[in-house]
Amino acid sequence: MRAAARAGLLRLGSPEQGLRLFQDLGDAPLWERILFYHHVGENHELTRTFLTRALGGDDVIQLRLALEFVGALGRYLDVEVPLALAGHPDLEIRIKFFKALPYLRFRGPVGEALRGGLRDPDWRVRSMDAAAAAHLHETTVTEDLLRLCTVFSHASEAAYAGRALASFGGASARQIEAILHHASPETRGIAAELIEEQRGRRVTA
Amino acid sequence: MSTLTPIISAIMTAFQWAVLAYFLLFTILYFALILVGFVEMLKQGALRRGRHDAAALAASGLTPPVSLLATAYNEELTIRESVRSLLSLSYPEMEVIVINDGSKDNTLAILAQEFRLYRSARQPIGQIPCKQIRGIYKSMLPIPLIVVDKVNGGKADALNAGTNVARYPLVCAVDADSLLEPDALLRMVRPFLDAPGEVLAVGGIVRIVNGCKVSCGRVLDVDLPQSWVARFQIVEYMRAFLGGRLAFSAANALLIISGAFGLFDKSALLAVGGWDSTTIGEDMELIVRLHRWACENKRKYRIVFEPDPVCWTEAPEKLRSLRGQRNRWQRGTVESLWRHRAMIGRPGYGAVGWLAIPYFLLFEICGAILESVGYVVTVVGGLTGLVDLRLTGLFLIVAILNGVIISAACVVLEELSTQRYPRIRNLVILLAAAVLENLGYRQVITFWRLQGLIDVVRGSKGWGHMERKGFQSAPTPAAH
Repeated sequence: MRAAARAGLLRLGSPEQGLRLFQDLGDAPLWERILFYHHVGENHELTRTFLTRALGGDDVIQLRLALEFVGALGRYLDVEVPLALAGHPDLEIRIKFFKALPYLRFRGPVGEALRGGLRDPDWRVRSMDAAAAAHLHETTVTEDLLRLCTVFSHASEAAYAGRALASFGGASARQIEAILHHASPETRGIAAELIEEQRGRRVTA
Repeated sequence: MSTLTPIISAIMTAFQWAVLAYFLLFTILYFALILVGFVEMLKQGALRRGRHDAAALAASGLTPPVSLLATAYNEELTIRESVRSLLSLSYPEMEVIVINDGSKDNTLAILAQEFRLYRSARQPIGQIPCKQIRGIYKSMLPIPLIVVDKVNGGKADALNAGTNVARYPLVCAVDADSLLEPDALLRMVRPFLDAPGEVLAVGGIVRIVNGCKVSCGRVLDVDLPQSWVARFQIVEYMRAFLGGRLAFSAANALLIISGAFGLFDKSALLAVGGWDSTTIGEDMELIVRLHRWACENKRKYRIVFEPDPVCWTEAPEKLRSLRGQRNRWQRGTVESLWRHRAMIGRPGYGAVGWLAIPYFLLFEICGAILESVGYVVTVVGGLTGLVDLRLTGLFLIVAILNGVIISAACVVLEELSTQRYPRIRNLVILLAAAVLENLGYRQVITFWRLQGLIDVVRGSKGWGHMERKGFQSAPTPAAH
């Protein structure tokens, strides 16, 4: 019912009402937020206005919503995001920032922000950071990704890091082969699977 | 002998009254459950939740990825259709993991040929103990298919192997001989999005595919089977899902998520050690264990039944297969409840302890004994004249009527809320099945359940055998 009411207001209400819906969205279950994002995504003006305001402000709830919204849409939006969010004290914001980063505009070199994220204490931040590095083709973090392939707390982050290296191609991708000789069987397994994926792609290409 | 006769007669009469009281209590309670289930069904807006919601989820980058685990043991007849059906599910990010549990037929060979499998370097990352994995295969085709070939260890063991190989945070256990509706997974994931971190497992509805037209792993036309045994099972499933699962789910006391279709939080699965391969009712045992684990760890949690996502499965039409299945289910229920008997009546276990387990004990376990003995006493008492004929008549009428009323109510309410069977003829046949199943079929099932209880006491561990017919394919146009 609430989701339908929001969709109705979005369709028929004013832009200000649309923005107010965003402000009240913080307490809604994720399911409802996903539906809302789906509807808002079609309204480019509202999307742009909300994201510009939220990403330019310091309201934690609005920042989380904005980054989550970008991650949900999963397409490029010409809105600027401050790279300083990579070091935000709120964990949820850091995770969502790296997930949203490839779809947003930013000023300055992104390598430093990515390097910081790859050293984050939380593995989910590191995973999303590695995925962002792959999307952005940021080869300046190759060494950090390589390290993440061998020293990790969760297999998922190593896999993300490995995929990022593989997506870089060339020398970076070849470095995955070196990990095949690593002491940890888990690491060796991840490396072997990545190499297999690379070769598989070549076969089917 | 003559002095004993009145005593025996009095005992038999008292027993019949006791069973009549049991029937009355069961009918009242079941009706309450059906009503709660119906209200829940309406509340959740199972029908109104349109395709647009599923489209939003399918397009969202926030939908969590899912590893689908399909266990296969001697499934050469249906494995192609099943895997195609799983691969064609509408879901943004998933992997289909088929676990060949040491099949003796051509299941693996068919998979290898159909999906161009190659031996992969992928390694299991989970640590749940399971039988030896002989090989992990991937497809050369651009499809997210992984096949795990392992030494036979039973369904639970195969699911544990699949969980170890799974990469995603949610794992969905399905039977390889079942077909999921295209948006079933999207509908199933919703509770995880309603309360992230809180939901441990979600069960979907299982419907009987016999009689339906199937093509390319999809149910194209829903219809009823010719076999009355299968029709009776359709009524039974409707009763179980509407009357049992929805109501218990509303009280967070759901004890069963069908092994044919359940979605789980992988971290919770790993925390409780996965499925227990030493029990015959691994699906129920896991759910009870999840409840227990969550309650003992003071976790805020939910285990949910969703009436919307549909899984179609083949029901046994041969009585021998059906007997084996029901015997197994009964043994599984008894084993699960016995293992977790410490939860009974304890306030720390919430509604599971004071409602669900006592209900199962009374109506699923004791019910089989009471009902079976009741029928024997009625027949013997009636034939020998030890029991008043009017009481015998009353017993039979109540026994049959209570079943008819409950089944017919379930058929009507279920069809009202889901309208799955498109033809009026279907509804008429289902109502006829709701009546006829009480004239012999139900009694036979009750005796098989009693046999299951006896087998538990005797320590029987067998699984029985299910003969498969395969899916009834829709006619395809002739090639010119």
